[in-house]
This record gives sequence, structure tokens and C-alpha cells, in this order.
Amino acid sequence: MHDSEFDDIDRLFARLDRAPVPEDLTSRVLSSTVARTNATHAVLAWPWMIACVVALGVLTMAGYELGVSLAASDGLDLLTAIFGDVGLLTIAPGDVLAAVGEVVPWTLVAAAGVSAGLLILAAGNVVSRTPATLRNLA
Amino acid sequence: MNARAFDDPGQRTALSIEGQHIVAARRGEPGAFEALVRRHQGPLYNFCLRMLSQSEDAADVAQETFVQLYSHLGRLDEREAIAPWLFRVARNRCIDVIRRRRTVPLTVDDDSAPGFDPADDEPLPDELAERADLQRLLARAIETLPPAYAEVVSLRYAGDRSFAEIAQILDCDEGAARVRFHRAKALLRRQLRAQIA
Repeated sequence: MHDSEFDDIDRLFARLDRAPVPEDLTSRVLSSTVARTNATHAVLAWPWMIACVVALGVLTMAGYELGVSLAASDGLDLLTAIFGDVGLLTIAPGDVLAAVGEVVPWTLVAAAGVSAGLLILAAGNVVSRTPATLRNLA
Repeated sequence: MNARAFDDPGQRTALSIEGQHIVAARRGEPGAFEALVRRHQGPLYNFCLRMLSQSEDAADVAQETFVQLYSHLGRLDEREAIAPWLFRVARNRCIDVIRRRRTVPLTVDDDSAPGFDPADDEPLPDELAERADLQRLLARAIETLPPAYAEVVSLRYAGDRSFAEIAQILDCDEGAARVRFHRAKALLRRQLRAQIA
């Protein structure tokens, strides 16, 4: 009641009891809105979680194979030499790049790069699709 | 209520608490939508209850209204109060329920309600306010009103809405809302006098 001009009817109806809201109304509303949306988002997060695990597995495998490949060739020695004397890059950059190009298994590097990118994308989607309540708990 | 214009985080401080809840609910922040529901459920439920006279139907309509609010969060203007929008939706849903129950005219022409004498300003007997069954009398008086009058009385007395808000909800100007309310009060006076006679 915000306006003036009260009369006997207004005074009488000002005594009209406000019925208590049903106890379950809020929970009914929330279960058919927020909870449902959260559940939908949680369901949508599952494929990204799987993608996350797969990407992590591929990245691990690619990293391991890359290390084995470099250890089997002269790659590790070459990389150690380059990191030990960075000046080589300025003295003979062409020779350094050519040598690196020969010893590095580019297929494995590409696989590791792609899986790392997929891992970042999938992890971002998992976080964004996880209900805010769960995010805050974490 | 459609222009969504909140992109600047600095604007958030200028928003009302309700506006901040709307923005937070859109982002899925926990508790924000629940705060909106708790803020409005009392007046909205009581309005529905007076319109429909049945607690189950009133709770259903209130629930449906809040579900519709949730799906419309993205389209609401957080700088405006949502009460008029909520009550408008609830009113339309109440009318649908009433239509399903019976066939009566749900609108009135404020200038020419047939068989109706608005000049009924005699005060009610004082003892009416002392009646033990006052709540039942008041509820019964609202129930017997034609729906178009019951809604304006329910918005005013059960929904605690101002005339400006009632005008928004009923999609009329404030003067028309006041006229309809005045006519409804004359009918209420007549109903109450008849009940205690």
C-alpha cells in the first residue's frame, strides 16, 4: 500500500492476513530452473571431460615418444649444445635450424601440440559447464 | 523491459540489489535466482491466492511464473523493477486458470459497467472489524467480485502494488487503474454489507 486516501475498506483490508508461502515453493521453483540447468550443463560437460582425458593421454604418449626419439638420435646432445651456448643461434642460425630440423621428429611434436591445444580447450569447457555451486566448492 | 544494456562492470554498482541479482542469476551465480524468488514469492503467491482462491492453483501459477522469469532473465532490463513483469505474467496465468474453470467475462468497461452503481460510499458498520471470522469475510468478498475487479483488489491488497505498478501490470494508465479500484471497493462495500446483514 503506497498511496494515500485510506477509507474504511482500505483499513479493513489492511487486516487481510498474508497467507504463508508454501514451504516447498522455493525448492519447486529452483528444481525446475537452476537445478535443471545445472544438470543439463553437467551432462554437456561429460564429453569435454572425456576429451580432456584423451588429450592428456595423447600428450603424455607423444611426450614420452618424443623423448625416446631424441635420446635414440643425436637430438638431445644437439639441444643440450644449443641451450648451453645460445650464441650459436646468432652465429650460424641457418646451420642450427637445419640440424634441429633433421633430428626432431616433427610428427610427434605436432601430435603433442595438437593434444596440448585440445587439452586446454576441453579443460576450459569442463570448467565453464560445471555448475557454479560445484566450482565454488572446488 | 527488453533492452539489455549491461556490459560495463562499473555500472553494477549503480544497479539496485534486485538488478544485481538479475545480472548474477544470468551468470549462474549460486543463490542469485533464489534471492529473486524469495524476494517476490510472498506478494506474488498471495495475489494468485486471492485471484484463484485455491492454494494449490496459486502455488502452481507462482511456480510457473518464476520458471518463466528464469527463461526470460536474458531479456529483462536489470535497471527496471521486475515486479510489474512478474505480476503481469501471473495475472495472465490466473486468467487462463479461471477461464478453464468457468465461462465469465474477464474484462470490464470502466465507463459502463452494467447494473452497477458506483455511488456507494456509506461507511461500513464498525462491528465488522471485530468479527471473529473477518478473514473469511474479506476473502469471500474478494472471491465474489468479477475477475476484472478481483484482480485489481488482489494486486492492491494482497500483492501490495502501487497504482503505478497496477497500471503497468494491467496495461492501462494510472487513472484507469484508480477508477477500476474505486469501483471494486464500492462492490466490496456492498458485498460486505450483504454478508453481515
